[in-house]
Amino acid sequence: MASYVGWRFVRMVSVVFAVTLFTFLLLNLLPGSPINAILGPAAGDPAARAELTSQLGLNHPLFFRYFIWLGHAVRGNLGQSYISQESVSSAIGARLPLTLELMVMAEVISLGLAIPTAMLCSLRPNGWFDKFVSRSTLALLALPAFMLGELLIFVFSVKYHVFPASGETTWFTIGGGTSPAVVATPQSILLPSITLAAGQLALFARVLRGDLLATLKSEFILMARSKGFSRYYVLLHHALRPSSFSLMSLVGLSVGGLLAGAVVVENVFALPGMGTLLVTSIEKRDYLIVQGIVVLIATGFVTVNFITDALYGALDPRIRRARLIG
Amino acid sequence: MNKRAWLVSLAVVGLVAAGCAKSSSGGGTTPTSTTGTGPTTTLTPQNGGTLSIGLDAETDGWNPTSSEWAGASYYVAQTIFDPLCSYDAAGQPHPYLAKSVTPNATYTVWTIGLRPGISFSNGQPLNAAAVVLQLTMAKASALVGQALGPMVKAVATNNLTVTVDMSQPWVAFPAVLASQVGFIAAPAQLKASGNAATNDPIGSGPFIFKQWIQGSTLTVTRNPNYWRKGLPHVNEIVFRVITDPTTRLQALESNQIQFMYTTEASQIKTYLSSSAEEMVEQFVDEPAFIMLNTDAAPLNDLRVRQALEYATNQQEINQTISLGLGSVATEPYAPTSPWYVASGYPTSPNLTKAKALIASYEHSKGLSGPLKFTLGCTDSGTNPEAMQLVQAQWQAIGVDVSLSYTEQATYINNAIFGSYQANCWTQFGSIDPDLDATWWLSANAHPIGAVALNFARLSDTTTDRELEIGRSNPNPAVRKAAYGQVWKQFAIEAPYIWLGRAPDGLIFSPNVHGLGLGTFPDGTKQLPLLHAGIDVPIDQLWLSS
Amino acid sequence: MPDSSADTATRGGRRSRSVPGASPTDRAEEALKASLVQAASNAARVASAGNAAGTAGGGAGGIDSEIAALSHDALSAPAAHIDTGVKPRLGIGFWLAVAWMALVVFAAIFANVLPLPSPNKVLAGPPNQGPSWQHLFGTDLIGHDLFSQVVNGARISMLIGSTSVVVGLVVGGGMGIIAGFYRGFVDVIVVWITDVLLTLPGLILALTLVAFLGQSLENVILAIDLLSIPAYARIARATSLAISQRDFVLTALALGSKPRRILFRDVLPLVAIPIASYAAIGASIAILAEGALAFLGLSSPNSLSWGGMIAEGQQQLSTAPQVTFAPMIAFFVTIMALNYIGQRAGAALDPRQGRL
Repeated sequence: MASYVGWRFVRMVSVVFAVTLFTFLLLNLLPGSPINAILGPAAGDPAARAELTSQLGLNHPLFFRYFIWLGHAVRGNLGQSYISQESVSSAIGARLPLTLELMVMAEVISLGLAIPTAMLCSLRPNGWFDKFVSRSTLALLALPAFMLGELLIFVFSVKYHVFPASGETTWFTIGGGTSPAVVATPQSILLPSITLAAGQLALFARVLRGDLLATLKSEFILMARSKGFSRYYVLLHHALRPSSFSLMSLVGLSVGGLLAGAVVVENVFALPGMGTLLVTSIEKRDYLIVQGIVVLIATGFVTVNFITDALYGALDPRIRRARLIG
Repeated sequence: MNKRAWLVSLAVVGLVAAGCAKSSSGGGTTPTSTTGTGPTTTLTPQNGGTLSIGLDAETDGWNPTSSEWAGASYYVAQTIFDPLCSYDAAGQPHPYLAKSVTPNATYTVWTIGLRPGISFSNGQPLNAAAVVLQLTMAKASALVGQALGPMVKAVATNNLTVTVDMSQPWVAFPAVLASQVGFIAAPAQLKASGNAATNDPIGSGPFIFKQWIQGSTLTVTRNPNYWRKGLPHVNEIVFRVITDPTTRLQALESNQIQFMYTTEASQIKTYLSSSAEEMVEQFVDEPAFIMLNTDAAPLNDLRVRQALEYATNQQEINQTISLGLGSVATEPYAPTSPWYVASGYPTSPNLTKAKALIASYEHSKGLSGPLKFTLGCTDSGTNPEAMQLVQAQWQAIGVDVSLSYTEQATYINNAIFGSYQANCWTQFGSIDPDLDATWWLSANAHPIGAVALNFARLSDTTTDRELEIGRSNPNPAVRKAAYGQVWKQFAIEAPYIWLGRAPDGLIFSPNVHGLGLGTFPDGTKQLPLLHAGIDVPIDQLWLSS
Repeated sequence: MPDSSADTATRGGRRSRSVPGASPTDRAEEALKASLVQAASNAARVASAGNAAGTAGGGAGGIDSEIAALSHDALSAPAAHIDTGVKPRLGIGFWLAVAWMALVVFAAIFANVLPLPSPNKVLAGPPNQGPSWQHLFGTDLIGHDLFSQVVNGARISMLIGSTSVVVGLVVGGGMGIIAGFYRGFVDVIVVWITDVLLTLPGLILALTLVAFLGQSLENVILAIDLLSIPAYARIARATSLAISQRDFVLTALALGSKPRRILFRDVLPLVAIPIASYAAIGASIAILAEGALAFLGLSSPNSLSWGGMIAEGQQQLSTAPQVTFAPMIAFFVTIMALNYIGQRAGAALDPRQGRL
């Protein structure tokens, strides 16, 4: 067990290094001098140029620069944006809670709906409910967030004024100044959360259903049934847990999908989260903020995956053995 | 997508004041139709409630001496600050915060008299020293100082009197005091270090600044010690920045906001006949146009620019984009405006003439084939559609433009530094043309790569001379004639290709009252709603339950 | 869950058809090969399910984890048959989907020569009209013919989809096959590369590349191809791993066959099946990613793809909904068709799906 975790950890760290190196190098992909690109309109200001040069360590060779940057980054200093006049980490920190809130709500909604749905489907495979769910989930998977979001807005905001079409109602704020982190009331971001949850819901339901059906063919299930337990009891208490491994692994991986989906959903619903910050920073050519967000997402995603993998390995001995072999 | 409506250019410098209105010559304007019952005069104002207002853009800061204010900014500014002057029912600047603003005989020295006993919300007194500090700091600021070009110095002659010396006769000074630099901020704010000077505004206005979440909301609460008794009526105002016009309207329909303005013809058309919300269609002089960089080839050649004048079909744009609700523009002011003088600008296209001009240009340069350059714009609202329409119109005379869309802040920077060839723009038509002189003076035309407020970079001695007359001559008829010459120069030199005037509407919930019924401290009426343009007074509104 | 090898061989044996006159050895070999396909598909399912989610979050969160969903479907799809030795039928839905895709490809290739007004032609018809006989999908605010625009949008989608499949198959598939066959250091490198490519959710990776490289069609294609590679690589690797440990490969090696020969002659054709059946789904993921990019306004600026059209229609949702719905419907049906093709083809190629 320890060597399994150890090996995964080494892999994770090396991947994180690679990604941070890649992100760091991105700045050098820019046509022309990175100084001009980062400073934008302030490119003529010699004081700003000097400051940026020392901040990025541009007078040192490339490899050395990477370690300077990395040293700053692990301490939370991701640089100072000259285009939006604030530090990258505070700009991101102000937007992150709303995005996290959106993601958590979406995950809760999708799991909360997917698990019962999959269970109900597996009770009567190929029944009308099963077929209906199968078709709808297939359709949901073909409806990306920007389309589903527009449809939901059209129905629930334009035609019937049930939900607000955009923005959020602030529940409370964290931090002060002009960029406090905003946390929204759950009901005001219900529509965006549902949009984000839809794709995950379809995926989780299908995967869980498949695994449940496979598990239900096992002998130990037959044994439990023959003991006289009802189908529902057997489903809930005996079949669910062993069938949830794929689902668990998917939940870990879905964090990435939620992040990407959040970018689109925040755009459709005009929410001031990290996804909107990413898109507007790209439009404004605010490269330092884009870089900071990418590093954060990559590191976070890798960490979540690592934890999920470790958990997965801990819970299912077969996988551990299989992974070590193959 | 971080978009902004058609009012792109106003964000540059806080010079642009209101849209336009009648002037002292009293030229009548026929108001366009309103819906519902319009402003009511029979109800008595109630106190209380929270009013939410939707804005189309964020502002970079709340320091009147250094920030860049545009239309949206003034909604906020008027709640926190008071302006020294404001516009009365005749469209003339009238003292508001100030008690009097009087010139000497030659308009070279202006004296501002202040009211006694007014304090800022932090307790500091609003006296001559505060006003002098503001004017001096504004004058020292690179961008904002342009508005105070002729000002030499401001001096406090006693506790409530400020004397401002000008380097030349300056007739329109009160109009400047009704714009950004006239919104007086407390010395504590102006002298604050770091971001507090722009992020923590302190004024003497009817509301006190509470919180600003940049890009999202700004909240102000009632000032219990406001020097105008009985005001304000509402307890709190929340400003929400919603850049996308469709989203803004949806927010209004779902009661997230109760007040918004729009230039989207489709929205205005819908509410012309709907009674769900109130709408008032405004009359705003400000035209939309394509601004040409007269320093960049091929637009540095007069023939090319004039050809574009004759190729543009404003009626088609009006019908398609403005759904027939707008009008054709030939100069910064509409025919119903007192500053209008026929300029000779073509009102309908003449493709033969345009093609001949292009042919002549190409022949002299030894070129053949379509003329190519880039037409830039922001992608908010119906801008892309309008640009595609213009592109098709110009294609008919052999000009092939490629469209390029840029995010707003970068877009404005490009204009300032001259890194563009043709840009869509909306500007001009201020209540007093002198406020727009900055954009037209040759002194402000610098080469590409340097900061220039004369974005088109056109240097013309006739224009300079006439602008000077307009600035210094107190006779309204002389001023009008002088500006008339400037419009004629525009038609000849063609730095601006007029695209027309978009309709402008204020849409608000039926429980919002008092629009257009604002008054000065002495009881005289403020600018009526229909002609307030972008300077809509909202600080005296009240809500019914 | 991965099958044990004994199980596989038995089931495979029952599945093969007996060819009259064939020698017992041939029949045994055929049975073995059939079982390999099945084992390969299963391995592919596990590998892809475990690693796919989040690669292209271009849609409602982790769209390409649908390959996991759809692969799991193979275990649980409606029974086409039970153990009769006849290949499962693909069904009428499958052929409808294929017909639609053929139509889209045809439109993409022949868009220029079709008798339609140019998609950029302003005021080709009266503005803001709903569908009519002259303009099948109606017109937008400045009179563009929406049908013509949708047809031209198909070009971008098909271009993106096909390049991603080609690059994925060649680069990703190639990497995976080699990694699974040679194992050792090569395998570690390949796994590491796919790990790195997967650390960023697909859409974010695409956004980043477009942000730094600039918004152009080439950069969008590059970005989407990059994010397609890991999925193909993982499937190919898992399959290749399973096959390479089979007795017949080990026997061939022991008998002195050159590894490269075995790789091309025996391993490659067997690996090709599962990754080819993934291709349809991979294409749909790529098209979705481009749609999301275009919607955000970050795809190539001048060529109007379906996502860009939907973004433009946002403004006019209440006054001219056809501007949004025309491309949306085309988009939706195309993705559904591709997903369905991928799912049915995958299921049909794996004989085990009849079990449940």
